[in-house]
Amino acid sequence: MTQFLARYRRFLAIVGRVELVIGGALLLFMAMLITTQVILRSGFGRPLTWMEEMVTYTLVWLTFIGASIGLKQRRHVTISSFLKQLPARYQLYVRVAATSIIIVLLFLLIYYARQIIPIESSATTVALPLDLPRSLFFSVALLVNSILMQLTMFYYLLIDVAELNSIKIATRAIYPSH
Amino acid sequence: MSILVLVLILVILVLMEIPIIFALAASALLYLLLDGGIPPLLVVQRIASGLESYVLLAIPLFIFSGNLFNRAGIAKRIFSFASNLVGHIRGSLAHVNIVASIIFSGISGIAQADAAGLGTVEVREMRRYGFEPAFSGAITAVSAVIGPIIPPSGIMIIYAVLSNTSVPELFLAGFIPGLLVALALMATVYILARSGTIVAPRLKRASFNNLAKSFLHAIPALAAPIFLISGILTGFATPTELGALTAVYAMILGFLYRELTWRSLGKCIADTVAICGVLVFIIAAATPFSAILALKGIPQLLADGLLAISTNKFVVLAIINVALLMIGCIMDTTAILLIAVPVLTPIISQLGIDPVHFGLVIIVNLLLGTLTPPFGILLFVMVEIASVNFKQIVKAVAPFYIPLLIFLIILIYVPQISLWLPRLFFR
Repeated sequence: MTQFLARYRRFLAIVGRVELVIGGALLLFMAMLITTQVILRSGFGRPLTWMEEMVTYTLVWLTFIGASIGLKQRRHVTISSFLKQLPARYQLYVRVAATSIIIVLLFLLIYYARQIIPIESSATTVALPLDLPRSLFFSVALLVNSILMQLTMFYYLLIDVAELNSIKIATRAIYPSH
Repeated sequence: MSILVLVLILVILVLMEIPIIFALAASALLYLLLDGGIPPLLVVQRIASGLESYVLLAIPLFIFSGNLFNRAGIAKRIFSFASNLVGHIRGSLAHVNIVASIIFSGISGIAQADAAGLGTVEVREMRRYGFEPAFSGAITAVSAVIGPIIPPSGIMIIYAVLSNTSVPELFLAGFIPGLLVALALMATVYILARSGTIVAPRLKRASFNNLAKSFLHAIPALAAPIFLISGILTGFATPTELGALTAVYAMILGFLYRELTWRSLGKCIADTVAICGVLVFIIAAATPFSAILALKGIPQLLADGLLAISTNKFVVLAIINVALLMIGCIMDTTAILLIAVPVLTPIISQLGIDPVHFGLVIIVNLLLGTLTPPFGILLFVMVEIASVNFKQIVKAVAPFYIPLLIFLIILIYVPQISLWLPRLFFR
C-alpha cells in the first residue's frame, strides 16, 4: 500500500508539473496577446478582432488548470475550526466522508460535462479565424478539470484510508506549495 | 423545496471542512437532484461559461504583476521610503506599515498578497525595533484591507462583473475611501501609542537626502498606480489591458534591477497560476448556486421582504450591512460576494442606490470579515507570519474594529466619499 501510494504521489507530481507548464504558458500568452493588442491599436490603429474572444477562452482553461494545481497544493479556501474540536479519530472519519462527497461530486460533473459536450459543440466560436466548437473552451475544460481533480481526490482518500488503518506514510503532500 | 435546504446543505458541507469551491457546487447539485424541478444539466453548463468575461481577465494579470513586484524586491524599497516618510511620528513603524500598504495597494489586487508579501518585511522590521509580535501582525493584517479598496482590486472586478458596473468607475471610487481607512488606522495607532497601550519605539526623523534617496528607489512602485489611473482616465486602455501592461512593466523592471531571474520568474508564474485557479475558480463554482437562487426568484422575494420593513434606502442599507457583517464572520469573502450581489442588486436598483457606492460599501464590509474571528483569513495569515497564536492576534486587532466600523457607517451614509471622483471624471 505504501509503495503504491508513493508511486501514485510521484505520478500526481508529474501531472502537476505538466499542469504548471501549460498554465504558465497560458498566462504568458494572455499577457503578451493583450499587450500586443494595445500596441496594435494605439500604434497602428489596427486591433485584432479575435483577441478578446481568444483571451477569454484562455482564462477559462487557465482557471481550470490553476484550480487543479491549487487542489494539489491544498490551497483552496476551507473554513477550518470546528473539526479541531473533535477527537482525532472522529476528525479522520469526517475527513474521509468529506473527501468521498467531493469524489461523488466530481463524478457527477464528469457525467454531466460529457452530456453537455455534444450540445455545446453545435455552436461555434464567433470571432476567431477558425470556427471551433464552443465546447472546446467550456465543457471540455470542465471535463478535463474534473478528471484531473478526481485523480488528486483519490490520492487524498487513499492516504486518509491508510491513516484509518494505521499505515504510516512518509510524505503526504503531493508537492510543497510555493 | 425550500431554499433553506440549499443553505443548510452548504453549511453542513462547509463545517465538514470541504473546500468552499466544492461545498458550493455540491450543495447546488444535491439540491437540484432532491428538488427535481430544474434539470442539473442546465446548471452545470453554467459553471465554465460563468467565466466568459473579458473583465475577469484583469484578476490574474494584476495578481501576476503584484507577484512580479514582490519578487523584484519592491517591498523593501516601499518599506524604506515609508520609514523615512512617517517613521518619526508617534507610533513609528506602525504608521510606516500603513503607508507602505497604501503604496503597495496600487500594485497588488488582493489583501492576502499584501499581508503575505509586504507583511513579511513589515513584521520582521517591527519586531527588530521592539514592537510586540502580536501587535506587529495585527497592524499588518488591518492595513492589508486597504489593498482591495485602493485600485487595482480583484474583489472590485468581481463585483463589477456581478453587478454590471464599470470597473474604471469603481477603481476611481476606491481612492478616497482607501486613504480615509488609512487615516483612521493611523489615528488609532497614534492614540494607542500615546496612551501607552502599545510599545512603539520612535525612529529619528530622516534627513531630506535619505528621504529623497528612498523616494527615488521607490519610484518604480509609485509609478505603477499613477500609470494605472492615467490609463483609466485618458481611456488609453481598459483595466484588463492595464493589468497586462503593468505585468510586462514589472517584468522588465525586475530584469533591469537584476532582482528577477528566469528561475524566480518561473516561480512567480507558477504561483500566479495557482492563485488564479483558487480565486477565479470560486466564481465558476458559485455559478450553479447563484443560478438556483435566481431561478427560485430569491432576489425579488428578498427585495419585497426588505422593502416591506422600510422603503428608506439608508435603513435597508443598515439591515443589509448588519447581515453581511454577521455572515462575513463565518464565510469566505468572495463566496459571499458571489451569492449576495446578484441577490441584492434588484433591491439596490429599486431604491435608487448607486451601484458604485453600494460596491464600495459591500467591499469594505466584507473586508471587515477577513479580520474577525473565527474565520478571518488575514488573521490566519498573520498567525503564521508573526508566529503568534490566534487569541493574541485577535486581541491585538480588536482596537481597530472601532475605527473601521465607524468608517463603514460614514461610507454608507455619505455616498459622496465614494462617488465624488467617478462623478468628477466620468459623469
